[in-house]
Amino acid sequence: MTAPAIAVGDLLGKLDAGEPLLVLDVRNAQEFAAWRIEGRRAVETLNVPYFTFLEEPEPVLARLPRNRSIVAVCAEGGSSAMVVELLRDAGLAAVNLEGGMAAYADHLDATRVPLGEPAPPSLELWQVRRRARGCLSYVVRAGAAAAVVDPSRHVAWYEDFVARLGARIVLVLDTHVHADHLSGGRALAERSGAPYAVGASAAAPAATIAALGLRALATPGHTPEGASFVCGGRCLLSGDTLLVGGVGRPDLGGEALAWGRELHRSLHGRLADLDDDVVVLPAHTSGAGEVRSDGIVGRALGALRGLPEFVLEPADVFAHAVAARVVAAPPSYDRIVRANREGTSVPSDVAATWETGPNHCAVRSRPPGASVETP
Amino acid sequence: MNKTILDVRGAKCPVPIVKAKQALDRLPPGALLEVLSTDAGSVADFQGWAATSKVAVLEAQRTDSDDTGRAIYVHQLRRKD
Repeated sequence: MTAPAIAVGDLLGKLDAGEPLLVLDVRNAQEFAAWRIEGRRAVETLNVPYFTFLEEPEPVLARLPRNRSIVAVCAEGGSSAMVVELLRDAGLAAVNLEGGMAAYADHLDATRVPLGEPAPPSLELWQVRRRARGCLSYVVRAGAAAAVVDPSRHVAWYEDFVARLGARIVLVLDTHVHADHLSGGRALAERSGAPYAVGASAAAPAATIAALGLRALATPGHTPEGASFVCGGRCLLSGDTLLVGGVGRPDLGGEALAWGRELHRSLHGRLADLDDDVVVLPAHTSGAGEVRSDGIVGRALGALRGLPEFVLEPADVFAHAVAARVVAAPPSYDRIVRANREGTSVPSDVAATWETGPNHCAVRSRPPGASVETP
Repeated sequence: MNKTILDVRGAKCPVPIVKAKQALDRLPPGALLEVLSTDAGSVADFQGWAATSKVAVLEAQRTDSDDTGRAIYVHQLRRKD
C-alpha cells in the first residue's frame, strides 16, 4: 500500500495561503532542530520521531488533531510514509510529503517583480526563491531572449521555466563567487550555449547585457569581483552587496577591513546615482520574515540608506563596525568557493551535504525572522 | 555470548529500526543484536529510539567500512528484560 502524498510545491502553496494544517515532522530531534519547513506565515509544526510510533503510538495519536489535515515529513519520505499509513489506520487525515526534506531543499518557485516605468513593457523580471536555503536568483526576459542571474545548481528548473516563458537563455551571470551554495551558472551557460560571466568581469558581453535591459555596476566589498545589475532602471540585482536586512559581510576572504572599506565605497560611491525608489533585490534572504505580502524579497534603496550601519562614516569606522558584527561563516564555504571559482562539477548528493545550515550572507540590522513589510 | 547479526545495508529509514525492533521482539531478554546499516541517519535515529524504547538498549555504535570504502554503521543492541 502506498501512502497518499502531497508534492512540496502544493504543500508550500497551502501553507502560504493560510490553510489550517499540521506539519508532523518525524525526523529525530537533532535534525528537526537544525532546519524545518518555513512558510510565509508561522507553520504549525510538531516533532514526533518516527520510531516513537513503533512501540506505543496511542499517546501520540491521542494528541494529534482530528479537525485538520496532517502532513508527515521526514528526511526523504520513507519514514513519514510509514507514519501516514499508521495515522490513516487510526482514522486521521494524514498525507506524506513526497521526497521529504530533500525535496524541500531543492524546491524553487518564481514570483514576478513589477517593473513599471521607465522599463519597457516587454521587459519581465522574475525572482526565483529557493526557500530552504534562502537563495534568490533572477530571470530577466526581453522578448524571446532571457538572462539568468545567480542560478542555483538546479539547471533543469531554469531551462524549463525559461522555455515556458517562450524565451531562450542568451546570458548567464553570477553577481559574485558564492560561498554558501553551489552555482549552476557555468553548467547552465554551457548547456544553453550562452556566455557566462562572474561579477564585474571584463569578459562580460556588454551588448547582450544592455539588450536585456541590464546595466552592470562593479560593487566590490562582499567579494572583490562582486557586481550588481540595474534592471529596467527600476530594480537593483544587488547580489550580496546589499540585502534587505543589512549590508553584505566583508570577511570571507580573511581581509574584513580592506574589503569593508571597498564595500563602503560601493554603497556610497557606485550606487550613489541610483534613486531612493529603486528596489533592491538581493541574492539571499535570512528567512520567511523578509518576504513581503506580495511574495517578493525586496526593499527600496532609500529605506536601506537609513540603516544604522549604512550611515556609518568614514569608511574606516564602517569597516570596523561591520567586521566586528559578522557571524559564523557558512559551513563548507571554502570548498564551495573553490568549486564555484574553478567550475568543478559536484555530484548532487555531495552538494546537498555542503549546502546545509543557514546562509549567513548579511551583516544584519535586525534579528532574522523579524518582519520586513516596507517596500 | 552469541549475537544475532541483522544486515540492513542498502536500506533507508525506517527499515533499519523497523527490522531491528522485529528482531529484538523475537529474541530472549539479554540477547545481543548487531545491526549493519549504510544509512548515516541511522546513528542518531538508533540513539533516539533506544532512549525511550521498552525493548532495546543501545550498548555501542561504531563506523566500519567495506571493501569499496563505503561506511557501515554498526549498532549493538541488547534486548531489555
